[in-house]
Amino acid sequence: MKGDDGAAVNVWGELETLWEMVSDLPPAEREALLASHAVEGELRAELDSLLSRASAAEAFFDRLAAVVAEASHAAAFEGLQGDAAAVVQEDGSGSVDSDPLVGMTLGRYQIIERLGQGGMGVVYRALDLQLRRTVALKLLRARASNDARGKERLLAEARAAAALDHPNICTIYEIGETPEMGAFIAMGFYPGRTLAQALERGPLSLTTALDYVTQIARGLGAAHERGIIHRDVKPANVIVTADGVVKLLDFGIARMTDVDVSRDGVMPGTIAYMSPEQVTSRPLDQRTDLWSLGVVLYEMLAGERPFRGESAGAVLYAILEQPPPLVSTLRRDVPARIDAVVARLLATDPAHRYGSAEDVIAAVSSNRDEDGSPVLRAPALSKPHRPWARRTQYGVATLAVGAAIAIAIVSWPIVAKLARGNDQRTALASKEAVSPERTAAMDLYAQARREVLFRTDSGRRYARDLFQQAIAADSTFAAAHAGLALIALTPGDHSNRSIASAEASARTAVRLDSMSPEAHAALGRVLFSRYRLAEAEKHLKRAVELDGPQTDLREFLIWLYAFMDRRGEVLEQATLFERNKPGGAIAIAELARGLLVNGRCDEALAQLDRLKHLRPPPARAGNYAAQCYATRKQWPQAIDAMSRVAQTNEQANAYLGFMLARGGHTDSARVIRDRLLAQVSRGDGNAYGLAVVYAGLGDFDSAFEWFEKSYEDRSLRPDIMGPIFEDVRRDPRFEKLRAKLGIPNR
Amino acid sequence: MYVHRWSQGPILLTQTWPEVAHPAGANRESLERSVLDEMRGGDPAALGRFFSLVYDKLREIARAQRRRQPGFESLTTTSLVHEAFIKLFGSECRDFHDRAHFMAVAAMAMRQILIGHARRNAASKRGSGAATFSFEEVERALASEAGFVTPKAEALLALDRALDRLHDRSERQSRVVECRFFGGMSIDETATALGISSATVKRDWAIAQAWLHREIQRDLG
Repeated sequence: MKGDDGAAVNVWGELETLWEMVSDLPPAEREALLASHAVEGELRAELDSLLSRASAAEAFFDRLAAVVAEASHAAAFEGLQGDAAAVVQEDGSGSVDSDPLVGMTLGRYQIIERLGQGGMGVVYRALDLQLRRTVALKLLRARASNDARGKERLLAEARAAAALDHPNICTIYEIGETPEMGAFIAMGFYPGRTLAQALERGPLSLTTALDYVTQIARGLGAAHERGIIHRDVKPANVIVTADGVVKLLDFGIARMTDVDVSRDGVMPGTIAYMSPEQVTSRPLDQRTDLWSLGVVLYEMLAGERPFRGESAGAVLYAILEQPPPLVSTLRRDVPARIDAVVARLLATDPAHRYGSAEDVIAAVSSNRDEDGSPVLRAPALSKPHRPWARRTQYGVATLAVGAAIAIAIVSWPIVAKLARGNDQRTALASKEAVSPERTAAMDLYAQARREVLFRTDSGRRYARDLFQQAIAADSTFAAAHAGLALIALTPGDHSNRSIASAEASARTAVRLDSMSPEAHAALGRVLFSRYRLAEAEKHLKRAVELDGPQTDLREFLIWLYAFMDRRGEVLEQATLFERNKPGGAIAIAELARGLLVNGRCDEALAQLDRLKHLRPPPARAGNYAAQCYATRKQWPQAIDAMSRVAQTNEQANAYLGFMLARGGHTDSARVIRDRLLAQVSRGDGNAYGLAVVYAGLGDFDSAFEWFEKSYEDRSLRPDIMGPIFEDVRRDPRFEKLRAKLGIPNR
Repeated sequence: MYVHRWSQGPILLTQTWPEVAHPAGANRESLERSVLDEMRGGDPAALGRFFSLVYDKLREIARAQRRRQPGFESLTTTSLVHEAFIKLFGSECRDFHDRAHFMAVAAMAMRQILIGHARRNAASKRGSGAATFSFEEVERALASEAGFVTPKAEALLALDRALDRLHDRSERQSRVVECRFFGGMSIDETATALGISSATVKRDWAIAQAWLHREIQRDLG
């Protein structure tokens, strides 16, 4: 009780006593008793006031109790179809309980109750009077009602979706149109709850989440096979039945009532599951569903959506520009491979996502790890959150492209909102957004980066063209210059001319943006090729530092240290790499290399074992495994591992020749030697490979002759410092090579 | 004394309950058990956690029930609360006092759920520009069969505000109203839950109704 209300409290206490005394008495007796107790003044007035309305109050509360029953019914009902409550608020359609359609018969359907309301219309539980079954009846709020052809097209598409027969897809019984109902869809009615409701109570267990994501992916896979895209995968469209079976709702009909992202006042939740290509109104393919699946998986595990914001504009910005934190940072039981699955689903560029829902299922169900091996990174995915002060040109460019796309394709209001935000970043982004040159350059850059990922010669050539076009569009674009530098260093083309041009590009990149990690990485890589190892180290370290702990650029630094025979630092950096890229196949392979060069072959093989489920495994994993076996003089295993790599990797043939020779298969080794000799004389082999085979055959004279040549043609590889070449390095002639390279003997 | 061992302090009356992080899946059950133990131990903070559990369970059951048997009659607050209790503690907990305490917390949770619902209903109407309702209009709506229309929602909101003021005068009386009204509990159940006599519950209930009736009338005008 309130202390500052002492008088009232006293009155209240007395009042209770008096009430007990007189409330049951007839008025006359009550009056007499109160008079005899000299109850008067304020206390008497209060008592009379309350007594006089006792019966009215009781009646009032009886009626109000009935309201409580109704409200509990309504509260229970609320959110039954996911975001019904939000939609009710949005369109102001008011109480969901006073729906005039309930009880009516439309066509052969008798409406029993309203289940909910979503962006696409109202859903009712209805009885199919003809077939005597319960259905969920969705009446579409067709925006295209004035456009008969458009509607026909949409209905045709929904009919295609209706042909889907899959346990994880909600069955569609009938799609049609009647004068009284308009367009409608009759579908299976599944007792259960939506995933949205399940998620209101917090995150799911890891097992449950992976089970659900697999089931959703199965449904999506079946649809994608028939060319049907869902377009609106979100928890409210996923029903989990009492038996734990997942049913995907609303297939292919999202388009029937497109949510207009450009409309001011769109609920932030409406676009939270949309892919970058969707919010920017770009062409969609099945991979848009995989993005949405990634958002759902993230939410199931983290209990929160990966892309959030107060307004639709803020959510849009997050989708385009702000990669969410790893799920494993939010809960401990999420293994690295699931982080990797989520990251791959949420790759901004659809090309970096899984190709199909089946791939997702495989990734989720196996304990394999992701291949996270981009030569150049996808900035939105792997770029760690950096303080804005350190985001310079490149960062602005990334922001700018998002904002520019938004301006060009989405619409003004959201961008205006974005720009009005008090966030310095958004303000800068909108200022930068007016440069169409930079936008075009960024697009070309992104495309080029994708080409590089294919690691083919034609891909590289195409990427080089794209980088050059990007530079033509915006000559101050540092990252594009850096990309050009790396392309120029293509293996097999280490002529002085291409190195010189690579160095020019890299130096331009650094000059344009001294804070660009890409620029420093490119320059470091070029200097590495020039055997200016100390300078290379400086720039590569700078690149890693600028890019943050999760950087892929660390790979360059690991190679450099391996080449410089700094084994401790190889392992140190490789350990950091793997720790910051949990589950990344390249990171795991590099960790194995770190262990291998330190002679810890058992541990290296244990790491590589984590990659054995990958199809195909990264080439270097097989290479390192073979080197581990070779170090242990287990030649058959080494040859087996290396011959697999050699099927797809020409360079591996040299190592295979080495291992065959050491394993006693001298004749086979000589065949390889002769092939390499022929290649070199044709001009498309390299000196290093030949040197390696000669070393394997014990012909050190020839080996060193070719090692000398490999110094010239820059084909010398860091593996030369690995344990399998120990006897090569014991030869006095190796000391000369070391001295030339400036690598001290340990 | 009406203040039972775990209902001390103003924490009971906060309008928005603090968010409680729920561990997922299997740990949940053991969490529910341990929270109950903590409550028995008299930890006031445990009440917040317990409340959150009860609140969630109530919502879940309400929805499930709604799915199974749509119809007003199937959904009394009492049956909801009882089912929540059984779901949360099952046969593990037969202690009548635990059950009664649970019921009191469940009543508070029901209050928040229902008021939350009423608030959303009213907000959606106000958003479309409708005026608020007078006491007379509210009384008329209460007497009608119109379903859960907005004047009824406004009545619940007015009751909620008045209950807050009643709490300032007499926490015990406000608690009695919660149990009787939002928890659907009988006089005797309320008495056990709050650790007071049935006579006191009866008297408090009567006085509180009259007082609240007057307050709501003043509030709505």
